[in-house]
Amino acid sequence: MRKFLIATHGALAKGAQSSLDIIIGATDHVFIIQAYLDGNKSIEAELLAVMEQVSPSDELVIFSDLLGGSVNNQILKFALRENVHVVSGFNLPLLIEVILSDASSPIVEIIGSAIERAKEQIVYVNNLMTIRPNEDEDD
Amino acid sequence: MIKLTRIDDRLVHGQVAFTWTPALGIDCLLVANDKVAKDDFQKMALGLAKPSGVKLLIKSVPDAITWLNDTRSANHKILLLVNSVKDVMALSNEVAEIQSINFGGIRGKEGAVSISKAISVTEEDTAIIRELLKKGIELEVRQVPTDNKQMIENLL
Repeated sequence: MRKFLIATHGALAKGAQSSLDIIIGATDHVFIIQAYLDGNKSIEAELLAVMEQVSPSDELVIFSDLLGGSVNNQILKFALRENVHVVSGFNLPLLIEVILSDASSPIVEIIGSAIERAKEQIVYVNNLMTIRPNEDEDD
Repeated sequence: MIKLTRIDDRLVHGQVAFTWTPALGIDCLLVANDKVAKDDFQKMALGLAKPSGVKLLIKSVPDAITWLNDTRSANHKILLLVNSVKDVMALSNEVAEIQSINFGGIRGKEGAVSISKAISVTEEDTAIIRELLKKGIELEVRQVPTDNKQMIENLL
């Protein structure tokens, strides 16, 4: 089974999960870790608790907020496991695409294409705002 | 062919772009709305919300009816979007293919009562809904494809 972990500094993970609930509906198998909300503690114990729920036949995709941040740094050692995949700098489109992806497609390909598409979602919207009248093409 | 007819007062937005469109293999979003069809700013805004690789058509309700009854629409997998019960009634009266209507979201307003988390209806809406039910059209409430269908007759 494919499982997911959103791990962030502070409450971003819970917020992202709340947005997912609204846009794609409630999702199973999404864990969250919110580092340092409660003092300056390591997330080691929380990470281990998640890992305990991931069997060798499961796949775990971890989304972290910052490449080089301490959350991602603590996750790194688990990325050596064959069934663990880590993506840093996630955004909401990336979460949606990976979580909704077909569970039978290979995760490596899904992550690759989802990252490309998620990057395209970061745009300077003002530059796209050109109003073109009567643009309706019909066929 | 019409894959889904949806009432959603946000028209094209996250749930539509990220869940319904891929789940149903939609290649054409048809927004049927008289006001939006005349409003270049709103058309531009909906264009920004459109998922890539999908065609977006924005037409007045009469033009949408003509297009849906034309053979040109037959090759598309269409998600028909309207923002009111009234508009969906007008469409279903003229487009025989509409046999099921998805209630995706109608936000609350003065004089409307909430019948589910995302749907509020006025008395006028309820009267139209009863007419649609009499015609034997399925009316189901789901925000996203993975929600369980709730039948509107059980919510009124």
